[in-house]
Amino acid sequence: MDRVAVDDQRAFPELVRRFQGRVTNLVSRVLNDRECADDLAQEVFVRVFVHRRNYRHGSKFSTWIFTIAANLAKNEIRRRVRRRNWFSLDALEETLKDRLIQLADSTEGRETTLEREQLQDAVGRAIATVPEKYRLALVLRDIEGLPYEEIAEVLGIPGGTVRSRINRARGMLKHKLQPLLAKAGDP
Amino acid sequence: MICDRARSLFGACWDDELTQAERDGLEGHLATCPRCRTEYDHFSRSLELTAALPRIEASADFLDRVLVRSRRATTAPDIVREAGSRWAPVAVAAAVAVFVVAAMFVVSNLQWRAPASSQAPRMVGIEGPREPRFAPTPDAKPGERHPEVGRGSPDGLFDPDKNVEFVLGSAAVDGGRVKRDPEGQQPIITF
Ligand SMILES: [Zn+2]
Repeated sequence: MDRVAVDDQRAFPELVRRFQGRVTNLVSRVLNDRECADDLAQEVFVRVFVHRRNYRHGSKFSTWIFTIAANLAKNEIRRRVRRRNWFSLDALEETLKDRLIQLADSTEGRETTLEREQLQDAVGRAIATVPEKYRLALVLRDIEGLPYEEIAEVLGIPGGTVRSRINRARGMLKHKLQPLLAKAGDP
Repeated sequence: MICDRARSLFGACWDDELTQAERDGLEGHLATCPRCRTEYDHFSRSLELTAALPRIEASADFLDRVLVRSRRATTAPDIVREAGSRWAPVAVAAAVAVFVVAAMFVVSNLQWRAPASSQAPRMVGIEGPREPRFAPTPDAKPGERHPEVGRGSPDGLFDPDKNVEFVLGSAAVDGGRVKRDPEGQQPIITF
């Protein structure tokens, strides 16, 4: 990143290649919308490029880029809520419940490719119904595997708040996936 | 260990952050409490499913698009400036039009008063004498029109056969052209 900041021509493409997967995955899982996530992930790198001289030398680059990604994702979620052109949470929860019940009925110990995809889709939707501030912390921790201290930096909140948000988010996720988990746990 | 305490340790257990004593206590409780065991199974299963979600890859042309957008973003200020300059004449024309309409409105509702000083607005005839034709009588009361007012024009203030100039302190428009009064300094608007 130091090379990007001093306008080394080859450094920025290298940086994009190295982080594009993590940024795209993070934004996709937070928004549960691949197409929009690709566009937003590109915007993250554009911001990195435009503000490259604001990068503080010595700090972790992943923290900085995840901060930008988290802020853009947060803005996008809020924009959608304002415009109401997004599934309402209730509607999404209903769809999710139906999907989980169907999945639980059809899964009898063996998991076909289609069922696995449906299962993954259902889990993605369940995450998308977790409220935004909990969802971001959950994705950063349980999908991206960031340590709590780094999540605190990314979200700009104290470590204790990060822990409580992640605990709440995990509890919500478990509750949302309950129909599937209960069925899968049956003998 | 009671159930509430056991469940409060699920997260730390998943993150492998329990002390040995906490771990022993939790395992002992789960061995004897089927409800907490089921809860922990569901808790850990939901997080396994989350962690097992496939990674979503960036699109094939991701880098190219980022580079194009980055270039565009760093040249954006020029584009904004150009866009601004393109609209500048329109903005100026609109401002002038608004000013002229406002001035006409003011003039049409104006009760004539002799100028208190050379800086105050005054109306003058272009071809005739510089004093207005419909000068107020000295004893005219405020709001009272001169007897001749209304005879020559629909709004009662101007002779329609003559141009009327409106002299201001800081701007000058004459059919879109700037004009100065013969004495030199004050700009004049002509209707
Ligand atoms: Zn218990």
